[in-house]
Amino acid sequence: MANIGIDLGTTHSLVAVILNGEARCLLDDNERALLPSAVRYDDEGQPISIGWPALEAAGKPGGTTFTSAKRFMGRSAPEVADEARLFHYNLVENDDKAVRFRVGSREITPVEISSFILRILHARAEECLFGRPGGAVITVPAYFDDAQRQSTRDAAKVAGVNVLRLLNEPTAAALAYGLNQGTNGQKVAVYDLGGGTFDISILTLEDGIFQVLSTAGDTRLGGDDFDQALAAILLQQANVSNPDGTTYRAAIRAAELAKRELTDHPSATLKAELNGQSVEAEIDRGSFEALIRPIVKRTAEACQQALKDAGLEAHEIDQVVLVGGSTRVPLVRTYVAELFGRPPHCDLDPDKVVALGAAMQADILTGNSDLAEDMLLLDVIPLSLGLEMMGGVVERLIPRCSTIPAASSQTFTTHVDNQTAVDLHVLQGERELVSDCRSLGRFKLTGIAPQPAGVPRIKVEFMVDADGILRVSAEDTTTGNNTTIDVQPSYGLSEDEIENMLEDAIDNAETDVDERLLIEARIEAEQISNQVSKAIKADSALLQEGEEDAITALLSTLEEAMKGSDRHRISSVSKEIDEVTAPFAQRRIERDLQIAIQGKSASHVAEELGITK
Amino acid sequence: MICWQCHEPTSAAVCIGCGALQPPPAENDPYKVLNIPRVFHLDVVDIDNAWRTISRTVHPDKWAGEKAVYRRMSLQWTALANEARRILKDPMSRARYLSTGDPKPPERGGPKLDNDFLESMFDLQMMSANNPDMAKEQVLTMWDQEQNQLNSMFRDWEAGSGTLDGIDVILAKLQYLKTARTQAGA
Repeated sequence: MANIGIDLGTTHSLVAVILNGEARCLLDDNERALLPSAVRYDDEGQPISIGWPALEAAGKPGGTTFTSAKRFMGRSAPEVADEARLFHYNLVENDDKAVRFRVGSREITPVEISSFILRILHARAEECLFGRPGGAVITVPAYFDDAQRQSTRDAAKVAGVNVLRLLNEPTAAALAYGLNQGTNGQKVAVYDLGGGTFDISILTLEDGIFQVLSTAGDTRLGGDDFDQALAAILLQQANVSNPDGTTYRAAIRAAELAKRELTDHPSATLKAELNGQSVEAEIDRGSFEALIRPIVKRTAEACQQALKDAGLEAHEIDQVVLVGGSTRVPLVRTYVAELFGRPPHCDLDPDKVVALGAAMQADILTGNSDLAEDMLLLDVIPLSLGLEMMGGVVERLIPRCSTIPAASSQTFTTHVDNQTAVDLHVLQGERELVSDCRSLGRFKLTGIAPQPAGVPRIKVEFMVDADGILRVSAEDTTTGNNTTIDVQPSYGLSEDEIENMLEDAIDNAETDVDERLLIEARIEAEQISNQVSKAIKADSALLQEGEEDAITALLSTLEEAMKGSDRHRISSVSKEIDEVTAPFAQRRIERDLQIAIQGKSASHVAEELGITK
Repeated sequence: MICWQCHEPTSAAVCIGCGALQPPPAENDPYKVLNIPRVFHLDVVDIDNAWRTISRTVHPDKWAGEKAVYRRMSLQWTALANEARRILKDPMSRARYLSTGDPKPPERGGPKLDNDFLESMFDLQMMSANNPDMAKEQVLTMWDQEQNQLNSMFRDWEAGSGTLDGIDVILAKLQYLKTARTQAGA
């Protein structure tokens, strides 16, 4: 099964695969590679169209089209209130929880919107490949934090897409470029200005290893900001100070067209029907550049930061690569050339390069890639991870730009006699104070054996995986018990919410695709069930008290689930079994090791005694 | 080492015989993880090369399509390798690891420093305000002094002719001087 690469973009998304040793973007029936990241809902909140038709209907009555859902992923309602107002989305007021939009009687999450985009791209790949793709590499802005990455994974889960890896967009772009023209030891800066996000990453290529040295960016800076600045001129001209959704969209549409025109022409006309009157404004490139210069300048700060973190000066950069549609704007190109003192590369289509790189990485992950047998990507975490300490101070556990996967552990104790639980508050950001960092979630450690204050030793391990997502585990080292961790994500969706969305998704999805997924889930469950049953029988001595009961109970739950047709239930029970049996599996490995070692010493003994086989 | 899968002897992270990923070393020894000789005087390039070599075999990307147990081990392995590289690339944490087994400075306490040193640190602080250039020069001289002592102690130790006794004092002084350097902008 071929793996695919998906660029889930703010304004557009793409899917690419390796065909005959070459990365290619897959096209829709009208031979378009780009799919607008737009989903339209009717007034009852039911999805009615995705992609081009959704975008074309934007602003028209009879429904709501959501574009730029990516801007809202993994964010809280108060954080995005201004943007939601700008887009005229009906934001559900909820204190500090994940973003939801109200349409009719339904509440729609950015995760759901993104899942529709992913589903369409996945289906396109399935059609082009004459079969279901094995798995997908999905790109995210390098500067996405944990909550934003987690939301992207959630969207894939809801869409039924098997995510092999979340890959940072600039890293993907570097891969697409590097395979074509990279030389050993070079330092490459990837400047990625998309519709809604800006990323800068600095990499080196050494012996087939792409190592990201540093990354920085702004998840709310992009070409959309150029459009908004242009639209403001038009609205001012029409004397509209508080535009409704339709008017605002018309102005944005006109702005976008003019922006494109200004790429190749010295001047353009902003033209739109606003509130029933036609409005026109002439703009030349000079005034456009004056208008957007402050926005473009905002990218410099992140560039300096990335250079500093990489321990390099601008002149030490050997190549600069431009990514993202917004780097077509001439001012951006000259600005980047000035910043790094050299003309940037732009020979690959800046809209497609990320998807192409994602497809390459997806191919590498198959393990039998002809394209890049020995290629390896080593990426970093964009923002430091820390814990709240007494007095509201943040203790840094994993500093930014650490190569991932990265782990760090910390030992905690209790402050009160017989305390059985400890609360942990995990934060992401570079500031010293909790209030200045972004809250990722609260973890509650429970099941600590009651002891005098200060005696328990609870070792908490933080592991950032290759997707840049944090996992936390804990162990009471005084008793050896695994303490339980209760995770409350600050901005993400709860397991229940995802589950509900999955159920909704099943209602909406094509049944045959579902059928196939169900079969796959059953086959996988069958395998797990067989393996685990065999292991229990063979190694019952290695089971701890209560463990066998727990596993057997789960196995019968799985059997029940397999009779039903809810594939998500089957998968989630399978996953649960995998987790619950992990310590048992570990013990079996250790035992096998022991046996192996003993086997060796026994033969040594035999040798010493002069016994020959 | 014996492979946990095929029970044949193996010395690598991945069994040469059957290709199974081996469990990461239980004790968190950065030298063992990166398979680097246990000395203080290391070339940064060698550390990076060793790190690249191990990453190439254990990285999650190499085990993406494999069983959960391999994926889990590869995650642990790579996190250890990344941590080992970080520890070994910093001479201070490398020195601390070799002398105490812990790359981090002691949370509290630490060795008692002589009054002369503490006084000179105090003087440095005053000087930073009045005569920054002189402070800069002074802190760098002191830094070099301690650094030289550290180097020579480790050279003897590496040659098998000395101990690391008292190295905690030098490390504590270097820690102070590091802060002083930042303050003096040196």
